[in-house]
Amino acid sequence: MLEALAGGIALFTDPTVLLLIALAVPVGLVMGVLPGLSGLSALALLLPFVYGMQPMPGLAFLLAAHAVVCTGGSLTAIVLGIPGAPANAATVIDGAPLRAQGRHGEAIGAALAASGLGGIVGVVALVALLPLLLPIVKLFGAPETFTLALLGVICIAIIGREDPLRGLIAAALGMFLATFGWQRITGEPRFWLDVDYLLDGMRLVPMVLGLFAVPEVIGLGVEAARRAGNGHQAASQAALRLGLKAPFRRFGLSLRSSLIGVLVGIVPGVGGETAPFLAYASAKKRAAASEGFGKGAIAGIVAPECSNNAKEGGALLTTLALGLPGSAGMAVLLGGFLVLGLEPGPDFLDAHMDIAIGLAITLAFANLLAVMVMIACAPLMLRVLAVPPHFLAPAIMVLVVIGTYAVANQPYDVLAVFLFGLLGWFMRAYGYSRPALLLGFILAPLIETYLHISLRSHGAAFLVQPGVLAIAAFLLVGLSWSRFWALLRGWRSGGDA
Amino acid sequence: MDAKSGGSRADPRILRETLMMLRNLARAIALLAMVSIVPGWASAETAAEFYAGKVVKLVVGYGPGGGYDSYARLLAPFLEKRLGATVVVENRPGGGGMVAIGQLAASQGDSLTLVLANMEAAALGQLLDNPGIRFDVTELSIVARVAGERKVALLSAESPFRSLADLQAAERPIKWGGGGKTDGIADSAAIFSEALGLNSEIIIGYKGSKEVALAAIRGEVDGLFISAGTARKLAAKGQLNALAVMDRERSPVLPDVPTIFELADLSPERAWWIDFRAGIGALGRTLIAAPGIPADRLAFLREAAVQVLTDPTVIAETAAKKRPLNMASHEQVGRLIEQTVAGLSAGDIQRLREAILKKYY
Repeated sequence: MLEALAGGIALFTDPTVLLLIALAVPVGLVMGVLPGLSGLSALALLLPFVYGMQPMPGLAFLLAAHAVVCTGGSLTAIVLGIPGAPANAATVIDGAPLRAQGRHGEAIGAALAASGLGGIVGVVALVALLPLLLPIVKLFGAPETFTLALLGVICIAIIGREDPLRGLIAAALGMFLATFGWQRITGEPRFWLDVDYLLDGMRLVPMVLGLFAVPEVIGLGVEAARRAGNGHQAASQAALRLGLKAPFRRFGLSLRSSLIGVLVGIVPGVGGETAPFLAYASAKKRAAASEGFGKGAIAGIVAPECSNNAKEGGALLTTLALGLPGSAGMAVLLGGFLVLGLEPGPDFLDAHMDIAIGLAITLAFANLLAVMVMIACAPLMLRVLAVPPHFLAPAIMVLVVIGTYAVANQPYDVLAVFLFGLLGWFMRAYGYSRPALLLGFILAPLIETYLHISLRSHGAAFLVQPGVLAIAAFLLVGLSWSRFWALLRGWRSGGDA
Repeated sequence: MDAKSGGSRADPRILRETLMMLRNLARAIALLAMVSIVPGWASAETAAEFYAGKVVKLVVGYGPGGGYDSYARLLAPFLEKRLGATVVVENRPGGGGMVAIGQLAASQGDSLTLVLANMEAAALGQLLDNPGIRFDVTELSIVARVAGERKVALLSAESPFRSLADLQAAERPIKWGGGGKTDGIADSAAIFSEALGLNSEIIIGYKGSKEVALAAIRGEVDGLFISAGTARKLAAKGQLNALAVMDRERSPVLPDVPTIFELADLSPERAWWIDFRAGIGALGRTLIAAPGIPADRLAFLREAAVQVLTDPTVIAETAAKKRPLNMASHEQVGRLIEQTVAGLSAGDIQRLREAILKKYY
């Protein structure tokens, strides 16, 4: 192990590797900042460059770009109210109100520090869990994955700002939209109307951008007059510094959110987009009403941003140790391994522990580097807010359209952005939760598929599997904890009196 | 705002002039296009001259990073040298890789696009009349097969079934894993069960072969069918055991694993199923071109592909990247398509549909 550690450090400190990481981090950050382009786009863009590279430099290059996308995306989520990458969608919930209150400097500081901290926790978890991974993944069979996805949907009711019913309606709509295209089990296409595009179902990126970006752009135009008076001065260094301290002052929250991210990352099949929502919901559930979740709580930034960087550690763990990609981005990274002649999987760790350690160090380093780059660039990027809305709105719209089109060179995706944009605008106007729709969309296929597999392989008895019972118990405790706690406290103070 | 829109409404002349300008522009473009095509007709250029300096698109029906993408990017520089053209790899994912093939089939006579196609899935999809199949594999121009692998049955170490005899004597349904009914994993299980008369149940919905393998390692399913190269790696750890190769010959990557014909005495009736699946599997990853391209250009493409795929440097490089390469000429692939797709009777297809799509679910 020590030998592998030394080998890993030696691989990492190679000048070529360091140079490539330094090149890759800005690419990842730009991909994150631009709406639509995400970690997947960063990897797809960089993958052709690694042909012919040595394994460690090539992988460090890919991983560094992929890992820091959410760090860049948090800036867009706060400054423009548009998730820079799908995994930043939860950050918008409190990011947009904070910006409206002029606390964007603090929010950005908190998001950046949380991203860095989450990334580091993810790496620590990665290294610590590397030997224990197989048992953990073995624990997560179809029944457990189903229960976890169900837990996610129940969180929807919590995310919904004041009105759980509207949250559930939005989630149901998201689940309905997820049914378009091939049914994974029967192979029947659903609602495809003889249009080939619909065979693959609704796409995630047009949906995210349509729901979150288009209404924001319309809003920019409509609210132009109001915003002009508000005066968006550049964030002061003091505000930024205050924000940077926030995740450390809420260390328990940061740690918990990061661990949620790691866990979601480890479980194969559950998309990384789920982690920030789960972290957000967990933070909101535990917080006092005075924190003002949904109305501009710094904790509402810290929780999702910790978890979306931490999830990369978890996802990399499953990818390295089992050759099972924990996220779509990791699937492409796995392709990168194969391109470089390496095959992740159980025997990979035996033969190439040094590369695994080197990659873990790369992940930590890239996260720190990204935070430093972003802190340096944040004041510059914040000037975007000073641009008059009638110039800003069309410019963002162009970015959104290009970002959508670039994902798959698919013109229908651009059409979809506008349709989802209309939907998003109505949802915003009538107070239906857009994150709930998104989470319903992401989790519906998991629920459908793993319920089917669970029933086929275990029968109804899957409900009493130990893992399922444990997750269900966790859910019940999580949901009732705050009330129970309040009851306990009320009881005790009653006793004192 | 109002003034502006009012202005354009009041002056129809501007609109008319704009339309006229557009029409002239369209004419100019049409003329330009014709001029650029004419030399192709006029001079009797050879195929090599045609490709020299052109850009050839090598389309992959899947996203970056997958097997098809890796093969395409590996082969592109070598094809480039042989064709004298610039070869650009383009990912066009959709419909499980079938959209790219459909687009190629619709671009009659396009000599500048190649697709590295999943012909195994294409042929099976066509036979089973899957939605979204907008082509006829017998009409595509076959260039050469790049790789085709045999399927191997793996049994979980957690499963009570250890041998073929165990499977045949199973008292409860044997659970096989799969992704979708026609993904190569599940349909192999269906055909294997049909050939051996097994009491099977196929559980699908897993995402890709790796997740099915994990389900088998966990014991959620008893076994799975997978290509030989992957089977070798999975079997190495002892959590999954290789049972048999679904072909008449053993696989070069798993020389110790017997074929199903060595393990069981199959009547011709039953052997037909195994032979059919082996034939479909042998279609593998095949380089194809659009239907109706000039014969000399197709011959040139075939020649170049065969040279690339038999080049020792290419073979060494693919071996280093753990991507098996076994070239089959267009004649061989054509014969396989003849046997497994064109040669089936309506009754055969009916039986296939019944077995693959219904019986074990």
